[in-house]
Amino acid sequence: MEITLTYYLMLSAFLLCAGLLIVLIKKNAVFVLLGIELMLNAANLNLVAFSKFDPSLDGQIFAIFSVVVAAAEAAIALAILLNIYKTYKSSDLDDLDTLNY
Amino acid sequence: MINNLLSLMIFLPLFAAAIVGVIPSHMKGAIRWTTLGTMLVELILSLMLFVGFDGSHQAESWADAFQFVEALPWISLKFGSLGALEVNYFVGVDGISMPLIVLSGILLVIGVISSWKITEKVKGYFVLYLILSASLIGCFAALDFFLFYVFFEFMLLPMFFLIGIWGGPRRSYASVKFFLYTLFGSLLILIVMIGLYLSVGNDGVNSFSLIQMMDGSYLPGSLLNPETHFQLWGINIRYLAFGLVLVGFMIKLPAVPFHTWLPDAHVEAPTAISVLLAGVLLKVGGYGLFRIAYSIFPDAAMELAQPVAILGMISIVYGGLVAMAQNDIKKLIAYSSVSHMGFVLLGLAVITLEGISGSLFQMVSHGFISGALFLIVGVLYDRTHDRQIENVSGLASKLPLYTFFVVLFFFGSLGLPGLSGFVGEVLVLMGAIGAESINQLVPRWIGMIAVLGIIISAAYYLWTLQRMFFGTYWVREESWDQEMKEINLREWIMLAPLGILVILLGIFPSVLLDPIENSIQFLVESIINQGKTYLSL
Amino acid sequence: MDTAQTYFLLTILLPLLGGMFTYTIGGKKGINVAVAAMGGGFVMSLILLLSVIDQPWVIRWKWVPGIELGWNIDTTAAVLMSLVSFISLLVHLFSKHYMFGDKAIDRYYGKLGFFTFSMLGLLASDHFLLLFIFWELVGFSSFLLIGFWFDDIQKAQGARKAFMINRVADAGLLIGVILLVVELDVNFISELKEMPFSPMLQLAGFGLMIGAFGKSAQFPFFGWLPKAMAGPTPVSALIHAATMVAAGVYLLFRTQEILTPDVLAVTAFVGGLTALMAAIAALTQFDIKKVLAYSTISQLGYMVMGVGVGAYESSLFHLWTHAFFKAGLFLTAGAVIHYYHHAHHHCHRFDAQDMRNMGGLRKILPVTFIAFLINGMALSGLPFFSGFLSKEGILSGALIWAVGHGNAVGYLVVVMAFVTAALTPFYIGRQILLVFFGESRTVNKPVEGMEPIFSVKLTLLILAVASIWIFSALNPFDGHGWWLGNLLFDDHVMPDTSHQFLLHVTMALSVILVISGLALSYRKYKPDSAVVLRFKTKQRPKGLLGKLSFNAWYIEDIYEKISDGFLNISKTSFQIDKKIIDRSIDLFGVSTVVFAKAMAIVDREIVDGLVNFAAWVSRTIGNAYTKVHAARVQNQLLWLVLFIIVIVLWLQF
Repeated sequence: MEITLTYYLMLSAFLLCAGLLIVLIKKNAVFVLLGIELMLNAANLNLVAFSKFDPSLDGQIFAIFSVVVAAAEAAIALAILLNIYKTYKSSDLDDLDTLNY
Repeated sequence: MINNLLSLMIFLPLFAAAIVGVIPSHMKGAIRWTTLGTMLVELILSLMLFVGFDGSHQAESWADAFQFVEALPWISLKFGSLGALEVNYFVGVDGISMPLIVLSGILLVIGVISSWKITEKVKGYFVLYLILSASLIGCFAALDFFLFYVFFEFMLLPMFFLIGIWGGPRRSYASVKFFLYTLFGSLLILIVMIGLYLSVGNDGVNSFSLIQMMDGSYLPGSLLNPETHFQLWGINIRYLAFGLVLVGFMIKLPAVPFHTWLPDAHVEAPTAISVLLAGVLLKVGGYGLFRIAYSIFPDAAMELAQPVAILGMISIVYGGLVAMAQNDIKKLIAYSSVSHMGFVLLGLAVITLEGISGSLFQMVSHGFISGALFLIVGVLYDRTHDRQIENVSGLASKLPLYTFFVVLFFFGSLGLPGLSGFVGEVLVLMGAIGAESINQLVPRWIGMIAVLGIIISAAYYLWTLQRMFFGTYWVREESWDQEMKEINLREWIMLAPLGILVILLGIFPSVLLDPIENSIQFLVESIINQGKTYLSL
Repeated sequence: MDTAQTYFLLTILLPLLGGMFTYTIGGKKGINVAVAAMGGGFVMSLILLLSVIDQPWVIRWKWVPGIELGWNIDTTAAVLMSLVSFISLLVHLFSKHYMFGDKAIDRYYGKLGFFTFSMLGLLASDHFLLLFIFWELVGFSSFLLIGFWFDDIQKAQGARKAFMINRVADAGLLIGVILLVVELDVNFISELKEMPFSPMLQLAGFGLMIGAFGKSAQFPFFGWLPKAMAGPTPVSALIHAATMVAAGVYLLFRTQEILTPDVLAVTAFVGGLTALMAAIAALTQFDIKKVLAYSTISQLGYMVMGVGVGAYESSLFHLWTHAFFKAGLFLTAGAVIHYYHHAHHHCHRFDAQDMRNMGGLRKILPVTFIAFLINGMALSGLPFFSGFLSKEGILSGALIWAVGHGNAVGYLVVVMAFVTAALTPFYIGRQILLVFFGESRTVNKPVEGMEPIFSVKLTLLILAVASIWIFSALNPFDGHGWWLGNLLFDDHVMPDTSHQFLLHVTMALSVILVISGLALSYRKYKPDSAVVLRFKTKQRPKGLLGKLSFNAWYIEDIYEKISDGFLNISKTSFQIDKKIIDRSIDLFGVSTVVFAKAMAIVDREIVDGLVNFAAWVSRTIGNAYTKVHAARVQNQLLWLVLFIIVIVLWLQF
């Protein structure tokens, strides 16, 4: 069977949904970050997949950009998370409600 | 002659106020002497004005009726398509305002001398005094309605504080009443001012210039243009506007029934402020009637001559009657002011040469006499801290010199010939009785009833004289007896010049009337001619 | 400056300056200066008279724009000015003794000088306004002199009342003058001429008449003159007998050309009525000065009546003779009062003016007695005295006028005049008898040798001698033979011979009346008569007529009622002012404050309330929302996702 774009897209959609679900239901910030990474990678997958069926390399380049940005974002997010953990002794998102009051 | 005489007179007191403001407040002597010096310079300047005034000048139109004119652009705001707001610093005098400026110059000096006894918050007092004097002179000199209005309003502020801080026990009531009452009046004037501004101008450019208003250069089709015949509630809007300014200035004058602020304000004000209030401030009301109500709305003035004359007559008789019922001497004199200012209104209403000269003369004469009368009350009040007539009697035998002045000014006020009060009153009465055959504006009986005023004023002055000064010497409190000393040098310096002026003007009224004869003639002619023109449109 | 002007200015200013000098600088020692200045003034007035005999002296000057005032000295003015100066000089002399020792004698002389100045100015005025000016000044100086002893509240009140009554009449004069000057363009007295009748002229005439009635103390204004007796007696002699009160007559005399027949008729009637009323009032008075005061009113009534009936010349003649004999009577009365005052100075409650305390002065003050007798006879109108001559002219003038008009009012005037002629000798006879005859009715024995000093005697005698006929006219029975008549009147002619009969009737009748009046008074008041003896009990007259007479027709009570009424009006006005005008202003103020408070409530509760409500709503919603969603990032994301899904679905279908 020929692997068509649909398969890629369905995998990507699955990954995105999984990431979204993690983001929405996990209490721990680390998991939330993981969920975000998952969603980003779903997007990357999309980009690469479209690029495969397109003669230009634009999608590939976008994907690389996106990976780099994700890495940077993850690094910063983890740094913030560490600091939050240092301050609040917790990485539970529901405990971080100082700004709400 | 100095070129900027009027500006100098207006701004010198303001400058002096700034100087007094930086003198440390414990240096009371320096503050007083600075103020006195300023006022003496003002007096000299006003006398220069009197001497320099060209009485032989025959005006053709209002545009060349004024002397010592200074004009500078002041406020200029452009509102794009809505036009522009142009206010000019525009001052000058004619025969109507010149005597009043001289009157102010004289009374302001006397007011300072009379204020010598103020010991509390001296600095504030004299700063306010200087500001007041600047706005008074500005008011008489302004030829731009906006400028006039600014000075007119500005007068209220120092007056409010001078009564409200240095006044008697009910000072806050009196000062608030004074303030609100006059403010109400100026509100009415403000309405008319805006209406006039919208209607008067040249080549489509609006103007606040009183001269253009008096000369009647109305914009075509504008609100107050006599050709427009714009009506509000079925009444010609020019009559309404005249009514508004009339009421506005009648409050200041004051005429019955807008007079009740005056007795309260006088009773509570310190002596010097009473002197200025009666001597100069009331004249601003009369001056406003001359300059604005009658000169700008001659048609309405002619149509409404009779009601205005009746108001004047009522003021004369009613004010006198109420004065007779007073037990407080200061209140009595305040009500007598109402009565005597009624002559101003009556003389103005008839619009004849005699009536208007009498009206103006009465203003000047009343300025001197009522000023002196309040000084006289002040002399007594300084000694007894009481003003009730029935609390003293027989002062004549104890204080002969004081009694001499009292008799002089009482009789001056009741119109004894040979003193200035007579001239004004008799000219006004001649105008009022003669008007019917000269311009048919005011019927004869109004003047004849007004003659009652001279009987009534004799009645209350003589009765007061008898109760306070004749009979055996007696004072209510024993402590007053030691204080009952003959008038001192300071009081003599204040009273003697006024006495001389009252006698001088009484015997030689032409000293005042000759230089301003042409101006009055022109005023009368222009009111009558313009009024007829406007009415025929 | 021509000579006449110099003389004129000296005449009127010398008395003023002398008086002012005494008052301000001279003090008590300056009295002689005042007297000397007055003497100079008198001499000047004579010189002035001589210089204007041929040609009246007129000057005009601008007073205010449009009005020229002017002096006019013709012979009439100059003669009367000499008269005033002369009487004033005598009063100045007399007062030196009479007022001796008074602590304010310098002030007294100042006021006298001022009065003389005003009176002379009045006589010389040509313009009606100028006349009014001096008219008022005369009234003012009279006020000052009546109230000279202002320590005594009674006297001060007298001065005030006298001035007020005058002022009321002056208002009438002012209206008359203004009407003349403004409406009729009649300005100068010297240019008066007959004018066609007009209502305005009538009104102006009545105005002048009222003014004249005020100064000349005619009904209904005559009540001020008895009040004026509060002043020092020499003042009464000068002002309230000889000069000021004659001003009204002078005014009517001067303006006769323009007075309409109605005005003249009223003048004649009121003059006659006043003459009678005042004569009746004089009958029962006990105050020596009051008798003379009412007598003055009565005589002024004669003069006013004389003008009214057209006997101008005789009126002026009577003014002239009356000035002498009435001044003489007052000064002699002053001498009597002075005597009693000093004789009884230790007795404080003694009334030195009450005739019931007097009697028998004939022997103690012989010169005074003679002077009083001569002047009294002149007053009563006995032949061979001046009063007879001048009164004769007025009475006959009235009779001729009445016959000419032939109406009842005219005859009523004549009857009143003749009754007065009988009453006059009666009351003056009574006064002479009570004061000078019989024995002293006071407890204290009279002090001998109190005859006043020489200057006083001289003054009294001059005035007495002047009242003898020869100084007025050569023929003692010719009422029209006044020495000065030819000088004063161009058309001085004897009355029409057709009236000869009436003249004789008048003369016969008046002589009979005078003599019977004198006889009657002697019968009733002769020494030791029952009436005189009863005086010791000091009772007041009984009976209606007696009360009317003693209280002078209750005129003062009427004045009181009027002035009370006025005061009530004044108090009502004040109540109106306080209760209605001021209250409504206050009410306006208060209602503004109340309205402002109400607006404040509205502002706070409604306008502000709306805003607050809106804020409250959003806050509540916000709160509710935050309660639900607060800090739940994941919840928010969930909603976000859900909505995106909804939107996507929406777009899809």
